[in-house]
Amino acid sequence: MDSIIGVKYNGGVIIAADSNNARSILVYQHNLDKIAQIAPNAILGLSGPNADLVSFSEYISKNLKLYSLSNPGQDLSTKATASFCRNTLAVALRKGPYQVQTLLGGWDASPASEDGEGSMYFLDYMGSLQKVNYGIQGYASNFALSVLDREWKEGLTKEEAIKIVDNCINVLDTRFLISQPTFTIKSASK
Amino acid sequence: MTSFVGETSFNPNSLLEIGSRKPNFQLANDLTDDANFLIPNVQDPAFFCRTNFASASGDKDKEQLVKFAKGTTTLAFKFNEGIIVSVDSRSTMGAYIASQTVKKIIEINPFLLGTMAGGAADCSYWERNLGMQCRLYELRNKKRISVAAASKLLANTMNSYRGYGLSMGTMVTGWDETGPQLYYVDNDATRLHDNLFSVGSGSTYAYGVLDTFYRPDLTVDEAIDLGKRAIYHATHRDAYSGGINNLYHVKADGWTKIHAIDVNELHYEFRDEKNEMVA
Repeated sequence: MDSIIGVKYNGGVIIAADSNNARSILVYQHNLDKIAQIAPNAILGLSGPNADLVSFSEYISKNLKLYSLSNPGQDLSTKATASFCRNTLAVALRKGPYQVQTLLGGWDASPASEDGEGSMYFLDYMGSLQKVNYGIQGYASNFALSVLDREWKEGLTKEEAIKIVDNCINVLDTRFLISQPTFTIKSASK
Repeated sequence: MTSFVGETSFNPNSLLEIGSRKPNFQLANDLTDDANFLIPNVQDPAFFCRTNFASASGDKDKEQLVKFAKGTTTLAFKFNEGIIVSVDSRSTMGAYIASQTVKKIIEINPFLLGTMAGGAADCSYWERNLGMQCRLYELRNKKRISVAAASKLLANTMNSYRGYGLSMGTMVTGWDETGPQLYYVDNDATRLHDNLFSVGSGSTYAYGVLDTFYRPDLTVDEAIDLGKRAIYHATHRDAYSGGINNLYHVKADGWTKIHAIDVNELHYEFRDEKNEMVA
């Protein structure tokens, strides 16, 4: 039931997630933050049962912290972070799977551009990993992926990216059965 | 009981056969051992627990010979003067009312309260276990445990028994250095932090009244009244809730029990109040 929307722009990424937390017919709260900051330069939008959201994001972020303490000065690139996440999901799949669908977005310094570049990865609960320019997890994909297909282009500014995410949220508001009144939006950039 | 070495090929087909098996591991011998939680001596303990001790929520246990005690309305909310915790006291096994006097608020320590919803045995056992862990924390760290940490300990315990069919929906609440705090912890290791929760079969009815009249700036008397009324309305509509309304108030110096009132008396009190208003 969760909607996670991610868009890459020139110099960073934006991830938006709905803030509802519901089980069966009851909504527990409207203010749940489903976007975890797992590293100084990376954010992870998660969808799934609350216990798995928390245990997966905490496992990843604490291990990344351990890595940065054990290897001072060596920051993990977003690509390496994504690989680590994927490996965790894949190993757990046959033992006790994390039922989380995620979008990982990160910023890396780049020789090509002084603003650096953003990268976004689509991670499935079965351990599939795909680098994407934009992505959506949840039922929201049925409605909003076409909006992103139509509007996304290379070299977007942050404001344009936010506008596109806004359009996605409006489509959900109009056509999605579940009411999602609040969204949390975070970005990773310089 | 003696310890048993080696594999067993016996797979018990009914609950009555369980007691005749010997466990294949050593039980705790003295107080310094970590207490073992006995797991059925079968090929797949998790599957066995899930199917024979089915979740004590909804009607998943209707095929079972022994049904679990469940059915509840519990609620807790945070306001400027602390936290109100208000519960009913009915326990049902299928259509049978097993008890009208169950204590669904568990006094973990003088500063922490836990509520009971779901399986009564699971709630009281694991919250008592939590009390033990909190006391160990105090002894090791020379300070009282925070509500966030206490609820995390409980959630971690639930996480390790995932898939074993435990049923527990509890609210852990108390007043620590960061102020009054309220957490909801669940048998599938969900842990949520907010100002207002209601758990149980009657929770939807309680939410109706609670959401309509809740304000953070309620006075203590208004908050007690709201907690009382929300439980009353839930017990009125939900068949599985009833008995006595037990209400506690958590303040900076610990919790106090405010009242224990039969909800039937509340029914006539509120009815008379409405009649007076109309007249």
